[in-house]
Amino acid sequence: MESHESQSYGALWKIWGVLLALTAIMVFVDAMGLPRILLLVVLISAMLTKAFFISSQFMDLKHEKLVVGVCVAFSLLFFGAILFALIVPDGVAVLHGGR
Amino acid sequence: MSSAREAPMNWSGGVAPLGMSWQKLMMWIFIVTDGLLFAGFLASYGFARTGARSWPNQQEVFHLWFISLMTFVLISSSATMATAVAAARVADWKKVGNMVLATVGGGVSFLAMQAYEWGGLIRDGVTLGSNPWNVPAFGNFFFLITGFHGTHVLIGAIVLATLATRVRAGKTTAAGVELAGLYWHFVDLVWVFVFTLFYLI
Repeated sequence: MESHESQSYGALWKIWGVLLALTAIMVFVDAMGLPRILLLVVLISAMLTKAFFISSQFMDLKHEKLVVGVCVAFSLLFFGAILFALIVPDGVAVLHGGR
Repeated sequence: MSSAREAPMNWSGGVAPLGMSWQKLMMWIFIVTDGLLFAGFLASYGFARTGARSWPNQQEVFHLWFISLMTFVLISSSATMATAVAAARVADWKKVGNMVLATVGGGVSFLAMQAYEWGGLIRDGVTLGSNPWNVPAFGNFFFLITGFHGTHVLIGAIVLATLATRVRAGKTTAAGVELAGLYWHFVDLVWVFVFTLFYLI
């Protein structure tokens, strides 16, 4: 799928603007002192949105076969989540339970 | 002649099963493996953070406006790199050279700012094993994660500086620029996660 026409430069700089706006929103929200859970939801959503824009637009995954993006996103996000969600609760319990 | 039921003696894999060159596929495989390294770091940081009884308040430890400036520089360098890749596709090599150089400038500025940030924290007494807030894991993970990321930025800056000279000499192809671009965007992508998970949350 490498036959696509070159993107217009303007479109790329629009993505740049979106990424910066999201970053500014994240820093602003972080300073607002929201409840912890709400803060986590907002920040992680914004983080994943930024990751989506960078990988699909800058890294051109939108022009590759779908399976490439699915493999990359699945490997990284799923295994990252597994490492954290399935190991951390046990680890913390052992750490604090003294077992 | 061969029917579908005959098992092939040698798997040929097709010419390009994923519709991309083997070089690009290898870069993607590298990105996934390198990404898993950072996923491991961030997950173990998450473990240390969840298990710690307290954690330093990032608003007090870091100058978040400064870290935001670093983020701005890295995102901007990603945009100049994307422009370089787009320019290479239409063979506008002068623009490619300029945009790659701008990207190197962004990378070097980011490293300089990171060195400044590290220096400030080290002067405040943050080391790998101790810090003023008595949470040893904080300094440990800070230097580990930002250090590994910074090393990636350094390697990227060297690769891109080499690329810039090759572009000047007319020795590179659009595919070569794209490969370097993929690596650089990956470095930016990792920072998106580090910035959110380490500095903000």
